[in-house]
Amino acid sequence: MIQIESVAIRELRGIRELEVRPDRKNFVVSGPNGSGKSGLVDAIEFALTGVMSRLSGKGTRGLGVKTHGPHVDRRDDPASAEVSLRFYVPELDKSAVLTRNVKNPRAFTLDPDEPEIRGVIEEVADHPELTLTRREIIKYIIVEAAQRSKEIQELLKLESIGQTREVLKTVMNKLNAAARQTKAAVGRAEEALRVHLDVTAPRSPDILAAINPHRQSLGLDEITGLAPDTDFTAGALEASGDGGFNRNSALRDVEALRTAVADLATLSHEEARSVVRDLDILDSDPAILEAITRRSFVDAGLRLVDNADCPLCDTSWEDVEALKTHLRAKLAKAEEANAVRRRLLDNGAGIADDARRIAGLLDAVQPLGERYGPEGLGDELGRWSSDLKAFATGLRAVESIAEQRGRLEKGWSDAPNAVDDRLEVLRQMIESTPDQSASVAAQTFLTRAQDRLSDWRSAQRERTRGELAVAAGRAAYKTYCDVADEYLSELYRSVEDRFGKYYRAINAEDEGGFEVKLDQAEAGLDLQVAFHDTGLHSPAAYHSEGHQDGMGVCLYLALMKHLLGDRFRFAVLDDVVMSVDHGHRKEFCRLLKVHFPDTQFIITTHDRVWAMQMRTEGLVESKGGLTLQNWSVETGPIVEQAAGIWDKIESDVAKGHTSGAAGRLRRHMEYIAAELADRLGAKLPFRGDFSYDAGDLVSAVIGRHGELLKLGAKAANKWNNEDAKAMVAALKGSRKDALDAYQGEAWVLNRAIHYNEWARFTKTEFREVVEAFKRLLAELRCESCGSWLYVTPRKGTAESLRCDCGSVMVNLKVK
Amino acid sequence: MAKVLDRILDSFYTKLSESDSVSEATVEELRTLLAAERKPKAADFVAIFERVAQEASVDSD
Repeated sequence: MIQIESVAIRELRGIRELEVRPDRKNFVVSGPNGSGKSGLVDAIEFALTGVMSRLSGKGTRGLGVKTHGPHVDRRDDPASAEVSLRFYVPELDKSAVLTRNVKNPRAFTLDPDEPEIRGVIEEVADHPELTLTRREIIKYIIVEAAQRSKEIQELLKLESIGQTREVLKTVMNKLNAAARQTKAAVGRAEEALRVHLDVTAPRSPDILAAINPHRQSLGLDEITGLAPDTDFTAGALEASGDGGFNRNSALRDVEALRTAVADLATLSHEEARSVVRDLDILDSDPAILEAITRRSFVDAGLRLVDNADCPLCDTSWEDVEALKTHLRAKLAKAEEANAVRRRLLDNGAGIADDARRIAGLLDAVQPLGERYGPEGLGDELGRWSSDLKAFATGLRAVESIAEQRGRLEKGWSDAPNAVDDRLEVLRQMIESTPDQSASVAAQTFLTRAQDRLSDWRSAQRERTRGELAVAAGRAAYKTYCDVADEYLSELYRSVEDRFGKYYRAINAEDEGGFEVKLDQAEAGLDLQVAFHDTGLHSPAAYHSEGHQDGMGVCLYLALMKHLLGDRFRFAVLDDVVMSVDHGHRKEFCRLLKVHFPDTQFIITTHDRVWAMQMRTEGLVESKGGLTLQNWSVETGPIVEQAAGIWDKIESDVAKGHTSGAAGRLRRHMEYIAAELADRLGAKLPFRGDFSYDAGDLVSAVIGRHGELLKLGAKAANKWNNEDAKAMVAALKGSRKDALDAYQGEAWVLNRAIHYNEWARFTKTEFREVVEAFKRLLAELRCESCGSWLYVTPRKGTAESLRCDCGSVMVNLKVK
Repeated sequence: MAKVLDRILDSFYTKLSESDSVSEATVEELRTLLAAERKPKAADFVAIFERVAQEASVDSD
């Protein structure tokens, strides 16, 4: 895996020329919407993968990297658009520069170009999920189970499990369909044999009873038992001259066909009417088939309803019963649709069996028609047989059944005109053939019986093979599903543990008991989450959209951790953090810092305060970011200088812009003092408009800090903890020095804070103010980890004063 | 995640071998197919099951 050191972008998307230097550390890009933040994300993604997902996928038809990757002014010059990305590979302890040009997005150059480094880049390119956008996070949470399963398996590179499962299911269905046909073929072969032998059922005694008289007439031995290798014609001379024609058998074949033709009007009549009725249902509401796929989603939603807000789409209804009625109607529609589909396929298969049976009878008579029938009858019967077989094939799927609608309405058999009359002529012509000699009749009877017995046996063997194949296919499908579900369940247990841990870390105060359950089922991956001790529900049931987004981020992080483990060293969170509400931002920063200390996050946000908070919380270093002020086609993003606040203030002061520096300092102190007042639990007089100035806040923070250290000293004495006593003493000593300096400037500070007079200060006066604040603020931050101090728990009696890394840990609980 | 996929397939072959409906030969053919093809087609599987069923039915004839 990699970490980014710098990115240089030229003429790509909204950027003309820009270089950023994350230097392997977390990096935040802030700026209003439309200021060009996403251009940086696109550039990183393009450099690493050669694609820009913003230009691919749903709703991007006609868009492409080559055509829309370059800056709009250089759209005819793709070669002008290029990204150079300098990165570090922790496993190899090496840095390299990757350059990719829009003209040839699939290729990239590396410097140094070493196979190991190239391998790393190829691996990164195989992980597009390293870039997470806001619109993507919800796809893991508020989606149907099947889609969630697909999305998550795709992210975990486990999509082949779902694919193999689907293919094996298809295989099973294909084998079942084939087996059904072999079974029908046995029926047809059996009918042909029965007709020829003139028996009601092809049982051994009946078959032998039909065969043996003909053998006897030829002076051949009686056959006493029917074995697989029994040959009815054994010992008989080959039938001569008549091509195997047996008049009586032929007459029975014609008669069987005529009987079937006579019944055509009623054959599968009910099935055909049912098909037409169901096609009417589909025609009346084309959306009905879509309803099938939504059935489980709606079903889950109905179970979650307990107020008038729809758990699936948040629409508010007049009352809960109206919502339930609406969902029940949708569910009923989905179930009706599924029933329609099943009926169509079942009835279609029944009609197809009958069509193939008629075709089988036609195939037996067609050679007779050819030889003995009126002119053209043989061709006519052959065409009809082919037509019926093609018709039967078209009844396998709903769509092709719909195409046969007209035929099913008018009578599907489509028998040629006056075919029965022509068959009657054929029958008469066969009857008028000269009497066969007894021996020829017997010979042809036996030959034909043997052929039809062989056909029947062959069909039976095919049916057995089909059944064996079905059993094997079913076993493979079921075994694969069982095994995959077992492993996926194990995997999801691990993911849900992390997911829950991360979410609790962000929402400890209001959802400390949060639990999550990921269940792999045939329908997909079911996600249930706890909601305030009321049991498990769908994430959409009660949680706000903000919380759902938070879940999406936590699930993403849990999945990435599972996927890459300690190699999860880099991710781009594009506007994702906006999903975290104000009350949970600190915790979110802490989550990333504590649980992902070795992962470099490139974060974009349009909220500058949020970006500042990331710095305050130590997630991002003071210089680890870029603030975009504006954007125009001509200039691309306009970057606010990326120096830290103190550098910016000094820069202003050095240039003599004291008023500018004063403005920066005031805004920073207002922000940071409010932040510290919150962290330390400082007491402030209540104001209805919450308008506290920096003076109010700084005083409250100083007072609270002193109070906490007093408590710490008291607790250390009570516990007689020497280490704690020493730590508190050191903190108090340092604080005293800082306060002395601060109070030494108090007259200046007071004027400044209360009367906004900083702007009139000289450079020297202003620098003294700045130094006093810096010194004071240093007392409220850990030297080791850089985080601001805070008390725990956040509400209630303070029990400790601490920093993120634990270097500062003052117990406040007295014995 | 390749390890998870390998573990699933290994377990699949082992459990399938214990099934009365599937012969060792079928399992081996499936192993070969799934090792060679990243996305095997349904027709490839159907061919295996039908061929093995054919051989089994010939053996029992």
